[in-house]
Amino acid sequence: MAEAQFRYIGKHRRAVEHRRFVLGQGHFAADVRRHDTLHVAIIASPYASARIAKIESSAALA
Amino acid sequence: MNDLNRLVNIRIAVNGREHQRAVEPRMTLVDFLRDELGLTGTHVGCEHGVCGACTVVFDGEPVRSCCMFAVQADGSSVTTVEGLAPERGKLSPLQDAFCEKHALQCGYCTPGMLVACQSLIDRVPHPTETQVREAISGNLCRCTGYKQIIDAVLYATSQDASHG
Repeated sequence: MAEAQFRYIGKHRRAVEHRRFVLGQGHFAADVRRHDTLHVAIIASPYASARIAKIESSAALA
Repeated sequence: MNDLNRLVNIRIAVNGREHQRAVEPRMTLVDFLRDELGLTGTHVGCEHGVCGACTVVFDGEPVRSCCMFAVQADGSSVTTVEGLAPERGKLSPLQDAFCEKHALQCGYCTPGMLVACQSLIDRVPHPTETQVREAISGNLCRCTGYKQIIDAVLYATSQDASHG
């Protein structure tokens, strides 16, 4: 197959997604905004072996 | 209630538009741009001044917006990637050159690269390759490598470049 017959191989083409990236309009995971988003924080216990007696969350929920 | 929760009124001109907000003193400039103004083009990469993804122009100088507080920018002028295009629907010569020379793949570092390079071009309209390398020495790219980015800047600033 002669090179001239190729549609993509050897041809200069712009990627369709470049335009939005150079305009700052990419949409990455950190850019997703939802009004009902919940946030999670994982806190490790400072004790190697202990029994959970109570979880005080009022300050975190405030 | 401590000082960290005390809101401070600030006024910042971003991309030529004045914004006034009451913010916590601990809010970084990049969080202000992204979360308060919704300008998510400026990215957060490392959050400690190593990757350059958060680069913005602050009173004429490229700075890392993750390493300064929004309150420090009170009364200042900031340009982000969203402010580079000459008008809606158009690309700047540099943005156009990035597309033409495939100076990006995933696009995450691109806003910081563009802002750092545009800042160079504003000071040095026809930079040498060494000057371009120096200008992006604080910006990390993990996909393209830097060759095409340098090519794009040189292409955008060369005499014979045609831009549409």
